[in-house]
Amino acid sequence: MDKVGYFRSAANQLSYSTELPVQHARRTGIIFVHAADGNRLGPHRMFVELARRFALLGYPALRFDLSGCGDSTGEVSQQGIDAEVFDVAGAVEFFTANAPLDGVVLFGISRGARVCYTAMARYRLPLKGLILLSTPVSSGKAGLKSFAGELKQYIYKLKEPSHLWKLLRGRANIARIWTTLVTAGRLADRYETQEKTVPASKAPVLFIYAGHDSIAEESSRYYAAKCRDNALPYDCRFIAEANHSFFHYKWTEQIFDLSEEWLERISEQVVKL
Amino acid sequence: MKYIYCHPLFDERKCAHRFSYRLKTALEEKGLVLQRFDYCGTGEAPGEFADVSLQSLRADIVRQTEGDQVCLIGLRLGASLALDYCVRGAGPAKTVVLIEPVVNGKTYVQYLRRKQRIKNLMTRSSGREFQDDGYENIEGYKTSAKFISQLENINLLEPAGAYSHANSVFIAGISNRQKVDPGLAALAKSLQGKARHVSVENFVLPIFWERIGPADCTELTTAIARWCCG
Repeated sequence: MDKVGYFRSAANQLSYSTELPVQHARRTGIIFVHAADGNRLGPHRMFVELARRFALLGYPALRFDLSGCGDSTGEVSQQGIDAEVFDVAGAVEFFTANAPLDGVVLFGISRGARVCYTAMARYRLPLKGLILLSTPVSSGKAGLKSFAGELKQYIYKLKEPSHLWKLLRGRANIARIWTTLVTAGRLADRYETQEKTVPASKAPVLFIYAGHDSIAEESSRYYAAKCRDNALPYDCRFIAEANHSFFHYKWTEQIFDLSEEWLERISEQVVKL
Repeated sequence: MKYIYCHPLFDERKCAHRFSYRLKTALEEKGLVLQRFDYCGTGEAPGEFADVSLQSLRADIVRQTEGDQVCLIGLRLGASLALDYCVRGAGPAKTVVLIEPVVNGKTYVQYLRRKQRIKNLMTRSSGREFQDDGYENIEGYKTSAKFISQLENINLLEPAGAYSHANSVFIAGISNRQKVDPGLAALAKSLQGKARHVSVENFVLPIFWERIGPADCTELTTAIARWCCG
């Protein structure tokens, strides 16, 4: 971590950290965008580790907390993702204005990935690419699968005697369980359908999905079609054994390897053009 | 006087981050500055999680206190480390605030493994596909067997027996029930007559370190600010 501070986004102060290469810095930066209610560490500190490794390859990196998350002021938006999309556009503006960069790659996970994609579609940004992990799509089927996934997790929990005993003694937080299930089901209408208009920015996209993520199949098909419709170069890769948040340190390594190889490839393509 | 916050570890660190921010804000309103830091290999601190051990965690807290009079506030494992700091007489502490401390290390490790087992079941994994000798995957963190074994040996009731410091200990239990957890009550009892003041209070709140999402912890942060000022 080289520097921490705040930048402004609407009425909020967003907290950030940067990792800047010691030497041979590239002119493409990487901005990390976390998932719903997360923070700039990412799941199991994944963003911290990846930012450091990208910095060793010469990519300056910025991690920040969205409004109402981590150390940023404000409250989490209960309505749609507009405020988060605005935060991402602000982060791009801030980073490119304060570091010697020609453009940035957005690196998002889950809701953060969806926010990155929408930021590309909505704003003219100096984007060199997007690396999007577990990008969700809203549909009746996705909502149902997400609901079923959470329900399955609770059923597995009940196989653990301590959880079953807690339920039988009336100590389980039923309200919390219900909220979790309802939230999962609401994936059906959580995000607006992407605008049919041409995206305001165009950049190549690397989608990374987990083989054991209930939304992966439908979401990957949806975004592949979107990219084809908008003539966006894209690549879609699966980490077969992984879950939605990639909860194994080996999967973090696989994400890094896929990203590194893809970043090298798109930078070569730019040189050829 | 320094006010130092000791984070929990693993996924609890991420889930409870917003709480630490709210606590910092609550203390600022009372004119107090809360120092939050990450142990080496965790959060935003340098280092690898694989190198974390009980010794490294202890050294990190000592580095933060620098021998000054402190008020330590810890959550979960962070609370256990804060009490451990006092028990070992590592430095002068005026007040210690323990939020749902890990009293029994064996139970804590079982809980961590149970959570990991459920994640493995969801991905139909045996958990043995990517095994590194001497390490275990705990919620995405490469955790050394040595550290896990050290965690299992934590028993706050035993070292608390040797506790003899003239400071105040506030224990905050968090649950969805009104009653104080028996483990925390036992910890408070074991400290009676050894600390200058011991109290245990239960807060009916969501288990905010287990699950991300908004949780109103104002009642807890207000109480902690009051204890720190007292």
